Amino acid sequence: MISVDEYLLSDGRYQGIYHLHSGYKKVLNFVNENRAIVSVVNASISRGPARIQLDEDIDFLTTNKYEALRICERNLHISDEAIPYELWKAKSLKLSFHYDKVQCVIAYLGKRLQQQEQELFDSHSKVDQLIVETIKTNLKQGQLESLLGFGMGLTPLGDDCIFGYLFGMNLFDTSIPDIYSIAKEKTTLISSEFLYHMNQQRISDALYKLGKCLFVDEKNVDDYISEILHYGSSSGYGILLGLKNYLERRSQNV
Amino acid sequence: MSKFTKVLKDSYFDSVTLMSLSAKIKKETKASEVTVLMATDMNKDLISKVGLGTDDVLNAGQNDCVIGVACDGDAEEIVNRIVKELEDGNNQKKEKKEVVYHTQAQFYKEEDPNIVVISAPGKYAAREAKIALENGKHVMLFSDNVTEEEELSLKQLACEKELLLMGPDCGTTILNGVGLCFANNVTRGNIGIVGASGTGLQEVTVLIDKQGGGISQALGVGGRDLHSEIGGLMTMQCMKALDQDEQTSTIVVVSKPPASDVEEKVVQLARTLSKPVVLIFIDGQPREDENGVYYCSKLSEGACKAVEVTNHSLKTSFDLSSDVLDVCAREQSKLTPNQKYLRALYCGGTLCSEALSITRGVLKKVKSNLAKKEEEKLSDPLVSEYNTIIDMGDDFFTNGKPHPMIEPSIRLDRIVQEAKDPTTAVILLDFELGYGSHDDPVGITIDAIQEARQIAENEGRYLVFVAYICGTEKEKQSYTTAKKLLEENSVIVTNTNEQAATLAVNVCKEVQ
Amino acid sequence: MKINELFGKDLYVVNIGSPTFLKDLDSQNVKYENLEWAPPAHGDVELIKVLDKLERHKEEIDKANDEVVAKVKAAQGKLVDCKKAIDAIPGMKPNMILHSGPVQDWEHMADPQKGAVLGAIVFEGWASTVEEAEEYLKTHEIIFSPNHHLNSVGPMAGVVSPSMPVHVLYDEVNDTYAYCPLNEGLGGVLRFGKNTPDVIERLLWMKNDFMPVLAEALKICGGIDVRNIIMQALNMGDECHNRNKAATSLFFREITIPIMKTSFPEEQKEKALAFITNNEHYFLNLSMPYCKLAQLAGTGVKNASIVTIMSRNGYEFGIKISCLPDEWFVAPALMVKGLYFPGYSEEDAAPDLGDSCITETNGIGGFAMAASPAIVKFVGGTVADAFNYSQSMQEITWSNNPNFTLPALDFKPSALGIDIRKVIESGVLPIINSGIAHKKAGIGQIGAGLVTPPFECFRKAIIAFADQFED
Repeated sequence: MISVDEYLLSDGRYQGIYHLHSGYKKVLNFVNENRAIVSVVNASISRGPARIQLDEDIDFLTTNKYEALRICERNLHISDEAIPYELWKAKSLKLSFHYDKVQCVIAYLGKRLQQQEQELFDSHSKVDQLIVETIKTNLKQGQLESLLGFGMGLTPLGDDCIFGYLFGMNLFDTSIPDIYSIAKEKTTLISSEFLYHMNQQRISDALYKLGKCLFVDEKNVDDYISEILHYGSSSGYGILLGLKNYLERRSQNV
Repeated sequence: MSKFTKVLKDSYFDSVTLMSLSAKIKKETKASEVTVLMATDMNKDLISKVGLGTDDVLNAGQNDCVIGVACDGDAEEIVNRIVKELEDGNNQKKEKKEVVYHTQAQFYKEEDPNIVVISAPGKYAAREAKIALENGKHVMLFSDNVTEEEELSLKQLACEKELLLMGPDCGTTILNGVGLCFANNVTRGNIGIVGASGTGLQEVTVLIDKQGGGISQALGVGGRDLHSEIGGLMTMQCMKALDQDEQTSTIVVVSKPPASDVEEKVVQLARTLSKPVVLIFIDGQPREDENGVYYCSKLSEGACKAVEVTNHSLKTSFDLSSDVLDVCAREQSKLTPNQKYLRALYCGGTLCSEALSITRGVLKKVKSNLAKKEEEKLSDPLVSEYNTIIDMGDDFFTNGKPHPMIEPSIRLDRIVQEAKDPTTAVILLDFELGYGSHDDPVGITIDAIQEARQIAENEGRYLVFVAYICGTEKEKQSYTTAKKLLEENSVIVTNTNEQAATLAVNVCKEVQ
Repeated sequence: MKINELFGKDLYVVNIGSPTFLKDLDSQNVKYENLEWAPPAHGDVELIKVLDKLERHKEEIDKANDEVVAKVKAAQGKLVDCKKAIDAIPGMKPNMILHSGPVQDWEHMADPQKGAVLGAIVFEGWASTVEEAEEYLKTHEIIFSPNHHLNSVGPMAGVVSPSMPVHVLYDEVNDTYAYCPLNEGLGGVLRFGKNTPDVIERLLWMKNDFMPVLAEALKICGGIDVRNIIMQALNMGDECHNRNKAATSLFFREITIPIMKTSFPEEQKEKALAFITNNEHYFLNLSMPYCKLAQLAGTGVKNASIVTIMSRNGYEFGIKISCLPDEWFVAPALMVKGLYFPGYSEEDAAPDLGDSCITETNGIGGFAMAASPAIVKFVGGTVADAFNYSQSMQEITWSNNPNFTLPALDFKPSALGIDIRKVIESGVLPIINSGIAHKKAGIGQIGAGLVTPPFECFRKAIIAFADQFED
């Protein structure tokens, strides 16, 4: 059964006819006239905001089927056919800040991130080193805006860090600053859409699982963090780095 | 340090692709910076900070992709390579759909081969060869019916670009240990050969292998390369290349005798090369060996010389052993007085030439379809007269039919025909093994040999069969099985073509 | 790679000719590609000489082709008006009837086209029945002209008479116009040669009731960007020649409110809207004139070897190339190979007919089959075939059009700019998706499939093209 984010059917921004924006092995991104992005993902990707998840593990690059998408009120049409679906609602995870527990998580993340850093960045490349330095400095000082659009990747590394930082806020605070309205102008369309959802405090099932895994039941932490670190090329790394920095700054305020 | 950037508008390559591509390119080219970034304000700042900011980059939008390279080599080339790979999606693991290419031009847009093998009909072959050369590809031109003018023009182009043009009418090449078209599976080693003849090249490679030597490269240059018109262009280009080749210690040239002006050029070049050169001009005028340049006029002589010069020893002897001579005498005694003549039915052209030259040195009344002299020409190639040496691979026989090396069955009727002729004493046959050749040349012929024997026996005659198998123990067709099958049928099998011809001729000599 | 660089490298072989030696390459684990090679120019040695001559002028021709393709890509296309042909088309005369394909006269016209002409005469009111129309032709002077001569295009019979409404498209980059009659619908329609009273009635309705509504709506909204719709539709499963469903929907969406805002009675507006929405192929008659505009932009460039017109009249197939805008190169049209509706077969089919392959000329339609693999059902082929066609068209075109991307081919742009040199060299002919008409007038569509122009058209074209150059 196809799963559809409930927002897609209720938020006016998502109504309309879509055409293809970009396509990858597991994800097809569609855009409509309002510049809203809907991602059609295959079964291997978790459910999440603005996603339509199919029940097959299709490789979109080899498939012959490519269908036109239209959202009309509460109806989802793929190639003019109305499609039955089940609704997905974002799960909310709210945690209390326990200082000691958080220090353990910070230490653990620090270790994992350091290992990954060596693989991701070339110490001989001026560009790479500048990116790492700038990001770390700005994160330490909580200067999120200056990271928008910065770094490599379709979702620039800086954005991923902001995303992770906001995720931390989402877990432990009640409010999140509006970064989306600024993000729209400063970064790629895809990335700003991710930030849009985080601003709405709507997280994907994968992030929900991450929160639980790190702070609540810790089952298979190592494996799951490894999985996250392999998101995109550096996206997973960025998200965890941002999260870690949030936790460190929050620790100072306690 | 050269720098280059390029902006790809509205481009959404996924991050994994971008990262792995940059990493790969950085590793291969050792460039100091390979960046692929989306052109957001922050990234444009960063790009400018490292000195890669250009107007194009600064004007790009946040949904455009910027590629920047700084390196010691050609930055623009690296950037273009990255662009090409991104646009082709080569990094994305997907099933390659069956794409069909009709022309070289189309194929070279997507792929980068290094050599083109052309067997298209002659009137189109030269054009395809030219296209290949112009695109920087080496060419093996198997096709015949290419004019000498076309050949000259192609070889001039090839020499200009330091490319190989092997042919036209080139059937044999061993390149980097790979046998192309007709070639034998020989040991890899350090003797490099340039051959203006197909089976001649094969024979030399096989005999070198038998003598414990090995082949680094065997390059066919087509039968006309050493004519005056072509001037030995490709032969000399290959000799120079082999001289530069680390894997080659000795250079061998095999050909029918060149035009005299061309021979001088080749000899002059041989003298200047750093490695020893063995020049085998089949049936050529004898010449004194010089310092580093050796002259031979027979294939096996040349093969042995090459191995001696390289390894300083030979593994075996190609002299006819006394056992074989005994067998010969016995066979000979079974002939009836009327049986006098030799009938040699060859698939391999150069081997046939070698047999012809040996025959005319010993016997009178020699005829051949290869003959240049009037008195040696056959009135009808389909009917043997006196001592007849036939190249069954000649155009006369192969028009519209496959070459006998691929399809030896076209020789079968002729074997039976010779058996019916009461004056036939000896039938001489060659069998080529190796890549490109028939899967079982002996097996397919054995019935005809038996039938021939039967016909002769019925009329109270005896036929002497002599055969040479051109091949090594490593061939896809089993050499041992082939030899055994022939010997079981009382066919005398020799170690070299020269031996086979010599033997056959000597049997006849006694009765003529 | 020089000889010494080749020594020591893995071989990557291209085989041209006999595949005899390939199995030995396999057994030696050598990487190779066996080209599906055929002698260039179908083996015609004279044509090969022509190709070689053109090779000597490669630089000038390549440059001219670059210019053509740039102009074609940049052309815009907006639907700005809907008017009668006599009012809209410069050069149209009160006694002129336009038709699809290259030059044709009444005697040699294919039956479906004749049927359409007779129907047009009744529509104009010059005769009251089809029989009278035949008489009319004998006693009055009617000038026949190919649509293309007046920058117009029409699908199938493509018959346009003076009072017929036409779409008027405008390219603001080049300040040019192109025209196309309106699509009547499917099945029993004039363009397939049907000329019964119901067909005439509909044509009259289109002129009297539909045209004014559309015209006013276009004034209200200032025109509709047709090019933009095509770009989107290609990503939505259309190829804009035989599948126009998405494009028609997009057009409908844009024209609805303007139509509603016009001053006409509600019922008339509703019927007008219904007319569009009930006809899946409405947009064909917009994509065609857009493609005509784009090709017009690339016409008349000296030394360019790119095809700017492909068209057929049920009898002959005609092409024109950019640098020789006044010369048709014609040859007998081929039969469409495809699937037939129940009850019909190839025996019933008319030869290839219509101006609609202006879409393929512009790189969509059959060239974009990968965008619409469903079309391939019509050929009884596989989806892989659809991709292969789109891929193989790259072999004969000069460039491609990034405005029109094909998602299933990793968003490769569709091939654009048929280069006659490449057609001759490779022997690959442009592929066209086409409907099949019954060879007798009046019956209508009996199937759909694939067809190519005859090689002869290109042979004539390249000889004329080469003649322009000094040796």
